[in-house]
Amino acid sequence: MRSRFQLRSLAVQITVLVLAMLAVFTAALGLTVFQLTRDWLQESAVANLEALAAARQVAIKIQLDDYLDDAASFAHPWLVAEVEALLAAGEPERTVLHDALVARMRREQPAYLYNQSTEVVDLTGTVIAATDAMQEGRPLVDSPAFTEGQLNPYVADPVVESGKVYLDVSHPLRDAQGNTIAVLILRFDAHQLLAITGDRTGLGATGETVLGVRRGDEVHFLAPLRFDPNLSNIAPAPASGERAKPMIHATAGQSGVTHAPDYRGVQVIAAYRPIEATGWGVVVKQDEAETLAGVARLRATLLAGMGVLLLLGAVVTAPLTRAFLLPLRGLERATRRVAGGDLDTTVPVSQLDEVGQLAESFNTMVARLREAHDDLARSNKELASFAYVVSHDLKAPLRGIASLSEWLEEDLEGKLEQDQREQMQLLRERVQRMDALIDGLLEYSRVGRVRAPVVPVDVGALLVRVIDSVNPPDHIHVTVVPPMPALQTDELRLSQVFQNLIGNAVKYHPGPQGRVEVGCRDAGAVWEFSVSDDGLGIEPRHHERIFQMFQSLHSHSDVDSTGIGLALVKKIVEGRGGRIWVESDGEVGRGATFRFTWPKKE
Amino acid sequence: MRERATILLAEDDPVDVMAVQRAFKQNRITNSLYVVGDGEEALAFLRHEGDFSDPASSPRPGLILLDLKMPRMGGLELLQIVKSDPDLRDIPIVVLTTSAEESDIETSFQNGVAGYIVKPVTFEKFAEAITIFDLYWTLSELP
Repeated sequence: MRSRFQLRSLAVQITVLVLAMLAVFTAALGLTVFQLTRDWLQESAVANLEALAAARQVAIKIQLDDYLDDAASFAHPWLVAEVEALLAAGEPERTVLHDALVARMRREQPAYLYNQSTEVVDLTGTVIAATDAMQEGRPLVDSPAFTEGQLNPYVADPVVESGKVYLDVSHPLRDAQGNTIAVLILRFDAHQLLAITGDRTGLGATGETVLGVRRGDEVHFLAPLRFDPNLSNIAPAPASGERAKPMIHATAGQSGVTHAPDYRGVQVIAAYRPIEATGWGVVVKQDEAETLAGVARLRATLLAGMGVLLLLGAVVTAPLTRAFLLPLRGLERATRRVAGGDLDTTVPVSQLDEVGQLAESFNTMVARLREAHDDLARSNKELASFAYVVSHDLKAPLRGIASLSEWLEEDLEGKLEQDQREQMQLLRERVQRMDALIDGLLEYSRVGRVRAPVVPVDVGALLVRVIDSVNPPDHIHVTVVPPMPALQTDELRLSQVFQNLIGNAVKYHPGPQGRVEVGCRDAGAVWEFSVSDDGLGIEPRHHERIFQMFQSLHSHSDVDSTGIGLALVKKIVEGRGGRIWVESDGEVGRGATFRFTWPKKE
Repeated sequence: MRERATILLAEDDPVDVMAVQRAFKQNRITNSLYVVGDGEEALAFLRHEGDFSDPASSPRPGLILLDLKMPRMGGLELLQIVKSDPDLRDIPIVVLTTSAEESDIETSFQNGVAGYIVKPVTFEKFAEAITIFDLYWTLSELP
């Protein structure tokens, strides 16, 4: 199970490594692409704003020139002549001249330019003739249209009146000597100008063209704003503020691009340009968020792309890694099969790489293992059948000797001397001893050769039976210290082990009173059983020897011992991968403790 | 044992033959006992062939005591031949063996033996086994 886990983690490790490399690669690529594209996007957005600002500048200039041209052509010599005449005339002649002038002005008024009204202002600043009679007599002495218009053709700042934007264009009326005698003021509906500033082509959802002028410390907007068409909520921006920065630059005659908050306080990118000879400035701006929306979209796209790439990487890498590890996995399975005892396992060698070499080495190793195993199995079998045959062949003559000696004794009943009877008795004892030895040898050869079925065994109950069969004399007390486990095992072998150990403890006890104790402790994967006595003990130098065959520490005449019991026990215990040992210092009375381990599961 | 039933003993070891004879004597078993030394001889006896061509010298036994380990033809081989012979298969056979090996005993039972006696080392015990066997045979429905 552990190896399986490690193999799986190898696949994970490789996949993670590949994905990490892929991630680093795509991150680097993505970052580069992102930065390049972001710069390009920003540059092109700025260039777009600048181009638009330049176009608006030109369009506005042309439009203003159109107004001025109109004014110039209206300031025709006939107008100058009629105004001269009017200024020179007295009443009642004057009224006639005035009415004629107004009538002609109405006729000549350039309707195609959406000229709303035309006025002539004398040098005192008073309207002396107007197409709109309401305007006559109105003092315009402070109006820039009048003051500037005396000197040069002049476009005044647009004004808003009853929801409409008007534009006054003035032109000086000069006599033949070049002296200004009056000022012509044409009032235009400014919608053509507004069409220019209101054109939002290429400006997206937040872009706009703003027309403004600086008045002292304030910046005034001259056209309706996209986000405040009535200019109602817009307080003039203080010229020192950050908000008016682009317009201040423009009105100062500068061109450029800047990032600044606009009238709403929203951060924008603004391209600004001056409108020559007016003191106006045009600003084309767009919310930074919109300009950079492309950047945000780009970032999202790149991140999604990276995610998809990594996902694809994982989808492709995982099966590739699995395929790559497949031969290793086959090897691992084969190794487990071998560990489970199947020595006919081979793995196909399909590759020429290290894995292929590993597979080849594995096959060679298993083949060697199989040979060794077969050799061992053969010699084990030979040994077992040898032991079997020898025991049988030894038994037949032994039986003959036993029978014949008995019959001799029977037939010579009464004719034997005392010492002859003793000799006959000794002969029979030796025969019985030989028989016990052969039986022990047979039993020993059976261990590991004959496999008994694994059954549930209650060790406590088993010990009761074993102690009963050992039949200890009254002066020796055998106790079992509970709890004793229940396990799945070969019942016969376990009872043989206990039989021998408890039997030995009882058999070799010097008396007069004795105690034998059987215990058990959980030692992890195995149970550790112990059989302790308070008998003679065993000197440490004998601790190894007692487990060898035909080694008994007791003389034959003392006790009926074959020297096979402990060898048999050792073979049974070690045949299960267990361990058996004795603890004793050889001091009489302190006795010996035999301990052995037994698998919890067979 | 039952009156008139003769017993055929197939045994090569003279001491074992003596043991059977002594045990019979001790148990006062008076049935006539015929002894053959190996499987081939036993087969010849049963089929009245060769030395035993005179049926008077080879009466059909009421019981065969069969040693498993014999020269030329062993007990197991004889057992198989007898049990596949329609004329002979009804004769009950008791196996005498030194072996407590499960495989031999199992094979014997698979071939339909009536019982087996493991030859103990001491005669005393052997005689006891014969006594028990005699008792069993007398009580059972064997022919």
